[in-house]
Amino acid sequence: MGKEALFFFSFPRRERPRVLKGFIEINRELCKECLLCVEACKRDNIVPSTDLNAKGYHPVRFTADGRCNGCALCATVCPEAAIEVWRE
Amino acid sequence: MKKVFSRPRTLKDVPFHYCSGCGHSITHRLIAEAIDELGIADRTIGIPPAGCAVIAYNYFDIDMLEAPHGRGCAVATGMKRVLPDRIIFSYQGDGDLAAIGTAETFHAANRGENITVLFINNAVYGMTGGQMAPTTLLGQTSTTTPPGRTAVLDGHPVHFSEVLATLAGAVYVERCAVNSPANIARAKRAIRKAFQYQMQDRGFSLVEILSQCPTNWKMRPTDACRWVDEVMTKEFPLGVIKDLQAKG
Ligand SMILES: Cc1ncc(C[n+]2csc(CCOP(=O)(O)OP(=O)(O)O)c2C)c(N)n1
Ligand code: SF4
Ligand code: SF4
Ligand code: SF4
Repeated sequence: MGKEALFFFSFPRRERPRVLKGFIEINRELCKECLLCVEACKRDNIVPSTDLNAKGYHPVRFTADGRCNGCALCATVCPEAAIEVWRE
Repeated sequence: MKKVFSRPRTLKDVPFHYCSGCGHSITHRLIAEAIDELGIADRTIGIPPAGCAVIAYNYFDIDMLEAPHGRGCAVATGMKRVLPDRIIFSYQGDGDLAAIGTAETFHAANRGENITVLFINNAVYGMTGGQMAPTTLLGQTSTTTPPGRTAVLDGHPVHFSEVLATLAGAVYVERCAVNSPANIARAKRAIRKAFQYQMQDRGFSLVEILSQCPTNWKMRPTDACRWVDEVMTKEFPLGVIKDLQAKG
């Protein structure tokens, strides 16, 4: 299986990307819940969560529903350099 | 799929100690990206200040040497004169650069020392708990100006970049911000340009960064970013203040 396919199948069926144009990975231990990425993403792909990380923040979550175009605006504004971006 | 964005190599895999949404963190990443793009990691030396960025040496995978409060430009001067082939940058807050370090900064710029200064203007003394800085805005509350800064008691906000730009030795001075994707991209270009000017032996370069301090501004990070746009840039307009090479 190629890398893309591995990504695809790594999601639960319900959350599988429809079109894999872009993809991000958030290091949730680095995230400090500033929500700058949530505001930067024009496609509402990143949402707050109620999970907890070791620092005591609620790290944000990537919704991965195929709307991500890999524009990297989220990664550009992330103060913690916690976001990595892939693009087709 | 291709990886199009990841942590720059020069930024160590160490979590930042800065508060959530702090502009220092973003600026650190931009400096690391600029160093990577120019391929100068093995010959760059950074000088962290006293202030929130006092342990910046934990984050950059380059040589760094701490300077006493405000003395970044003096230390950079000595370093550059002894090691002229190195790229030397001093990283300083507004309290560090524009209050206690006024003399060192002013004269280094006037001598046209071939160094680069990153001037982080967050309009307060961040590390010590939010006292008034020279750059605090009129009306802005701080722990030492509880009713808000007034011109009569405290003087007007100091435009230090504009002051330095009047000096013959300063070749490049630009004010940027790190509160939006567009401004962050511009700030990165400015930092890279400042390093390039130093690599070309042109003289003193300084990039001022309007940097959000959500903690002492007592705002959410997203509101702090808006405040930079709506309030701070009205007092400190963004853009190139001086660029000697641009003219000819
Ligand atoms: C000689 C000396 N005087 C005072 C201090 C206390 N001190 C530490 S940081 C600081 C102010 C830092 O403010 P700024 O430069 O604006 O940086 P920020 O923390 O906002 O990034 C002061 C006054 C010190 N460390 N050394
Ligand atoms: S890469 Fe662009 S579209 Fe994808 S999550 Fe980040 S900001 Fe949103
Ligand atoms: S910008 Fe970075 S630190 Fe802030 S919420 Fe998003 S992932 Fe977390
Ligand atoms: S006090 Fe302000 S400048 Fe210092 S780390 Fe926190 S947000 Fe950043």
